[in-house]
Amino acid sequence: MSEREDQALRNEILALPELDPPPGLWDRVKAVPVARQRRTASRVPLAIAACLVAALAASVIVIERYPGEADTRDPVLVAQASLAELLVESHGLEDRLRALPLQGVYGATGRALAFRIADVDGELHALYLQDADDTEEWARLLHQRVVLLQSLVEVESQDQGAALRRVAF
Amino acid sequence: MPRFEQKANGCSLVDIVESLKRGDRAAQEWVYRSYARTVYTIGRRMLGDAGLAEDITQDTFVDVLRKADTLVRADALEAWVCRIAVNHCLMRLRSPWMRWRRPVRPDVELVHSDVETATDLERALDRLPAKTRAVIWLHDVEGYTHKEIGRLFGRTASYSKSQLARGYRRLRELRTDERT
Repeated sequence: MSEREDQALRNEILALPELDPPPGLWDRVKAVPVARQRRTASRVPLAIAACLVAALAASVIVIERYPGEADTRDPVLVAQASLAELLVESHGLEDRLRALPLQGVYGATGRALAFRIADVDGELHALYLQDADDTEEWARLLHQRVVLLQSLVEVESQDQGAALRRVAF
Repeated sequence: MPRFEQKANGCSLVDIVESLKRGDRAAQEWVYRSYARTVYTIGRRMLGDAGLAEDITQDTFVDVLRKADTLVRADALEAWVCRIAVNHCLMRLRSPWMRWRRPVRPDVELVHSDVETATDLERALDRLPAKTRAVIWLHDVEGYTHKEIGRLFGRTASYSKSQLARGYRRLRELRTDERT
């Protein structure tokens, strides 16, 4: 390709519009030096809703996968689970999510779950920055992410099904 | 009139930076309102994900407020803010976790973009490997040299040049695919 074509592409990239950050971000920024908290103010109700949904989904998942073992599932066992397996499972769920015809937006519950996943991502990144060799914490967060993703896939699949049924009727 | 606009009226950049260093809330808000779009755009373009862009925007301005007293020259304010944003993006790109993860939020901004050609290019940019996309943005928009980019990634200038050439080639292919 010629230098002229490269330059044309460069000009197009330069001309891309600036994007607006979400409203309310300034309030969170100015709150941080005082409260030293990340993204809590605007997401607390969403996070609570997401946790409730996730807890419900987790109990269903545990019961389905480990019939009769739900009460004996020790958190230590979760921590000892292979990180690689959790990563693969998480990756598979992301693929399933991307395969859904979402048309650009989640429903309210889906949005709450997606925000919660973003928060877990932030915690995982913070853990990486701390350079902490804390396998249990990694496993705990990854497990949490998998459960949230499973809930998100289920919720969005049901929404899609409901939407299709509405169209059919 | 918002407080940050009152702040800008009749104040030089030197005054604003001095106020910023003293922790003046109106000056802080002026800096945020002036550069938030630029910072968010850097995050969104380099990382290809609205959620991460939001995070780096927050982290950048938290740093700006906390480290304002280290800024020596007032006229370097914008460049300083952008450099902090780029550093936050690079931290995330270096993180094995962030390298691995994929965004789970559908990106409303791009889906609803009004500019057809921009959407076409933005979608193609989003599909590039993260580091290739970051190299393109740093070189073409932020004005970093190949030598500087190489150093940022712990590599040589040749690495930056090859990533840029590969990125352009891939962008053209992706756009051609989308149009056909």
